[in-house]
Amino acid sequence: MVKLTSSDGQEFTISKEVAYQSVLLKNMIEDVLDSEENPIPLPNVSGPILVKVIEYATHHKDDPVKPPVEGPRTSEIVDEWDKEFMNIDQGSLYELILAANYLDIKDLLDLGCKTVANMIKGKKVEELRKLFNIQNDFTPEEEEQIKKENAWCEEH
Amino acid sequence: MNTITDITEIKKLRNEIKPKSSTTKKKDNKEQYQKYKYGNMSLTPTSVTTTIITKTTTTTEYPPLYFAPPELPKDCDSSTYPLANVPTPYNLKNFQFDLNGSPTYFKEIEINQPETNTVGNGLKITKTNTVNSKLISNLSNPYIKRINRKRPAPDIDTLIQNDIYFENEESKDSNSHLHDVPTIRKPHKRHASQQDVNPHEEVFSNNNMNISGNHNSNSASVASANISDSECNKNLPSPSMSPTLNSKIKHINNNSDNTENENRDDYLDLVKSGSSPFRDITDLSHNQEDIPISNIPYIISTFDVLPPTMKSYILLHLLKRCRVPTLQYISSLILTSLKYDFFSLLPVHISYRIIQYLDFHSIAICSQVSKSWYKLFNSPGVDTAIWKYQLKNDFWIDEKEIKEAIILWNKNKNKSTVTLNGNVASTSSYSNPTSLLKEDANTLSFENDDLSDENKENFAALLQSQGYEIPPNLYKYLYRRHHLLKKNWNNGRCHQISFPGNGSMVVTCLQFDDDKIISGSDDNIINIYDTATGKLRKKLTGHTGGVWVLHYYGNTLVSGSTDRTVRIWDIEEGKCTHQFEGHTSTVRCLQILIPTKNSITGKMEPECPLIVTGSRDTTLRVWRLPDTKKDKPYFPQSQQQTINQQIMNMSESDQLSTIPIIPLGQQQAGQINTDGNNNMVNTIAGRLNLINSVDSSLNSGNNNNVNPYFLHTLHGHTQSVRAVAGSGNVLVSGSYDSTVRVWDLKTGESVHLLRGHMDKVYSVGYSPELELAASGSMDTFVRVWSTKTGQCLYQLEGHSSLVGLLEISPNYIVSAAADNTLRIWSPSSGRFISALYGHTAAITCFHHDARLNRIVSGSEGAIKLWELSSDERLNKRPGTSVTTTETGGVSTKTTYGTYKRDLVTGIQCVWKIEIDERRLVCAFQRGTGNNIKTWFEVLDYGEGLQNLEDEFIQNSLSKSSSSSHPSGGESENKNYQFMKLISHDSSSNNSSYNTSHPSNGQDIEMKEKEGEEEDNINTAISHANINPSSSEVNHIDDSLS
Repeated sequence: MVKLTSSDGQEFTISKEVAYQSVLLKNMIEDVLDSEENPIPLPNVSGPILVKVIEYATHHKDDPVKPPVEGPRTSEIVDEWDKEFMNIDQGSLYELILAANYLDIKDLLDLGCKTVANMIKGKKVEELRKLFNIQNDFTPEEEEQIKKENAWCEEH
Repeated sequence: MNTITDITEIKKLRNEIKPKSSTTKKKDNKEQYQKYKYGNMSLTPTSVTTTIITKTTTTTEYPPLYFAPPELPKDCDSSTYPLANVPTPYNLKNFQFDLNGSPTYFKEIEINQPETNTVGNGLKITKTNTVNSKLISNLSNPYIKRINRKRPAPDIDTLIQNDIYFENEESKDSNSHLHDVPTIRKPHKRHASQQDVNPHEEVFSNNNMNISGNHNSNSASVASANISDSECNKNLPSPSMSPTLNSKIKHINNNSDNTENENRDDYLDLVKSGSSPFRDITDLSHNQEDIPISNIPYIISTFDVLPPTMKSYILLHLLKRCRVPTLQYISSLILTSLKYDFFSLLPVHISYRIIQYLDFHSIAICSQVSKSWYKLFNSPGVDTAIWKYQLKNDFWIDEKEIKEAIILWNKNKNKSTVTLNGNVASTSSYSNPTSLLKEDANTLSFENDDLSDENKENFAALLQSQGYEIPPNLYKYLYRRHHLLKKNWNNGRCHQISFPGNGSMVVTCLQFDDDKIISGSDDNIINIYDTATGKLRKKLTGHTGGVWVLHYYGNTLVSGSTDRTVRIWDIEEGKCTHQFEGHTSTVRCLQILIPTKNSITGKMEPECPLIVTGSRDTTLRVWRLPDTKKDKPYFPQSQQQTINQQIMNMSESDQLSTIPIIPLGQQQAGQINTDGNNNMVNTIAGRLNLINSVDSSLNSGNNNNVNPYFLHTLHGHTQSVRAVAGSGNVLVSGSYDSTVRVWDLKTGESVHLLRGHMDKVYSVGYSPELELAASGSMDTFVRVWSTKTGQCLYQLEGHSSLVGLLEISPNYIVSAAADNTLRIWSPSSGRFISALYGHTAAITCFHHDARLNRIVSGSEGAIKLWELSSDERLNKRPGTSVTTTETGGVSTKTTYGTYKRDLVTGIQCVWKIEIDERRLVCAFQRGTGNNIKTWFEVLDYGEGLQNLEDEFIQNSLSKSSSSSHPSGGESENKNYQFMKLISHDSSSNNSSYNTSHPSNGQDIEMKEKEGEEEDNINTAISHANINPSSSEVNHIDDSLS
């Protein structure tokens, strides 16, 4: 078993199997002899996010190693559990992506990135501004020019 | 006691207010609050009657603060209160927080069907077996109780006694708190003052103190736990009191007993909240007079000082008590405010990772969202991570194209730099790497073929290391080029040029690129046309028989003719430089083989560029491909007359550098003399050298075999060699003797004799990727052979007539027959994929390009366009298309060989069709009777390319201008010169594709955007002046796995 401490001081005990989903933890556990006694501090991951991460790692602990995917990347999330798992607010999504990046859990990072990509895909400019609470800081002229500049993508 | 008096006073006050309208009440309460607030400040010192009782406390652990989940109001059904039945999440059931440096534990206890006794005054005692503790609650007051585990369950009296006992400690604790925790003084001050005025607030502030301040000193630790006990107790007589907060504030404990100092004294303070306080809140509108509205500010300020987890907990329970409209309101409020531009906040390498999942349509939309998004989506990192990736995915990574684009951009950048400096210097300075590179590009250089795939991808980096600046949006530009061309093809948007050939000549062979179209015909002539205009540029004469085949690479053109010779031409000069003899009959087919890296051996094969020619004399001959610029010209002695002709031509065009060999004794020197060239001596000296070298080779053999370019004769076929195909050192030939042979070009030996066809073989194809050969025969069959083993793998049956034409690519074999159809087959499985019906006569020519996903085919009547596959991605990955179909049946939805449209109609014999990504070039006859004429037609799908190129180059102009004014000092916003319109004189535009870009430098000028667009065509928008931080750019490849 491995003990982890989140940034807000919550302590979690997880199996090595689960912890090994994270390359960072795997390296730490292998380097540090006594990880069962001394909790590994994760100053970049808050408790609630660590809960999510552990949930993910636990669910996927028995997954076979996936071969690298060749060719065009698709943002489609096939696994229904994954889809439901990512049904979270933007802040958590953001933190979860950062945590996956920090802990080096490639599949979770990919899942997060796909989720964000799917949020963006197929939206109109105005919808994206709303989605991310972004103010339009272009002048009308600039906006017109950029629209022109990107017109080539619109037609097929 | 003071408190009781206070209560009566308050009641009085309320009664007075009652008759007034509800709005007034609220207002009054507010005023009251204001008053108290100020009053607090002054009254604080007097109201705190503090006696500090020092106690010996040995605190070794902090037992949890237990809390039973507050009971919901009875009428909370889930349709009205959607969150009412939401269980407390795991992480809020049991947590730890830091309270003034001491860890405090909180735990919510599940209570299933507790046994309850209601006692007297609404007091409820709940017995639970689990922790040997009592849950005590009051219907109107949450009741917080301290219980000694060792004692038997106390009765009410005991409880009250305990409360009373703790009451003694209250003032002490609050006092110590005041001293020790200045940050939360406010509520305490209020508390102190309100003791005299309002018991509700008193309760509230006490509670607050319990939570926030119970650990501020050792001496107080025990007592602090139960201040609200005491308060509550004290307040028991007042059922109307509504210590809303109490119900949510859990209680606390210290395991030490100050008086008894018991070793293990666990106190469990359990709060079982009554429902009434909450109903008070939720039903606010109904019984306003019972509600201590004045408490609200204190609830909030108390809330402020709570630890985050506790806040979550409290909020959860508040939300559980909210109706739908409230939740909707809260939800809209939260959802909006929680939305933020986290995409911009992510580390760039993660942003890139996300962008990689976007289609280019989404990417275009994204760059219109805001300035920061624009910047991100147009950063060099994205160019590499996204556009290069897209290019790679579409198999459009082409080092030549990358090189050309970089040269184009750098050339224009240098020009503009020069001009901006007011220094109209020649750009052909030797120190200018661009000029060197350009020379490189023109020479017959094979070094690029040595690049591994990886190196090809990083080709730009290679150039960068040589001092070239990588243009911004390089890959995006390249991707857009491809995209534009594809779109134009799909939409049939093309510009058409027609030009006549020479009478009704039969065009036997044709090859073209962006610059030129070269065709050979039965009138012995090779014509070079300008691709853009169709203008005849050069006429290559020399063959004394019809030209049957030609092939060029770089500046070197090779042709074969019925005159039995093979001729090498310098395309730029338009001159024959070499003539190879040896074949004893018509040279019917030929191929140039450029060295490529053998994926197995890692060596370049063949060792040098080769020509393989096949002839009706049954042999094939292998020659070294001459470099027309570097290699000495060569003509066999027997063709002296032709040489003389060459010299004539040469003199006419005033070119001395490529003077052919003239044996001594010939009187041609005088003719050259007439040119009056001062370099005469040098020229002659050079010629003498040439002559000497050729003489020596001539003397060594005394026959044609002394040709220094000749390597092998491939003997084996017994009849005319009709077709050749090869790659590396492998050559496949098809013959009218019905056999196919595989040759090793290194040794010149026949490796395999492939028997099976029952009639003449007309066409062959070779796939080095699959190590397969395919052949089409008069016997109507197509056969697939392993060039490794020599086995016939498949006989493809379907055509009903001569299969005269055939092509093979890693995923397809396309065959065209005299039965008016084309057929698509899988080379790896031999499966029939599709038949293309539509032509009304024998197919006379066709071309397929898997990368471009197109087939064009011609027969009398029309040239037709077909789509190779409806899922074009399948074309590009060797083996995916058909194997997928077979194993998984995945591509049942995929259709192959779909007819798109007729490209040219109303024509007779279609001699030749060639396509590249941008154009289709065809030669056919049109007209009737004596009016039949040969025509060339060019369909140019490059509409819009010039604008794209202009935009790309102007990007370079704006970039170079900005780089000369380092942006360091300016703020980013100021420096964000978003649009800069650049116009330049269009008169300097050179229409030729290859020639340098528009401006001649002097005409470039920067203009602020003023709308004075003199020249719309050349006015373009430069990209935003973006100077991305280098950290974003670097190592993007590394960060992407």
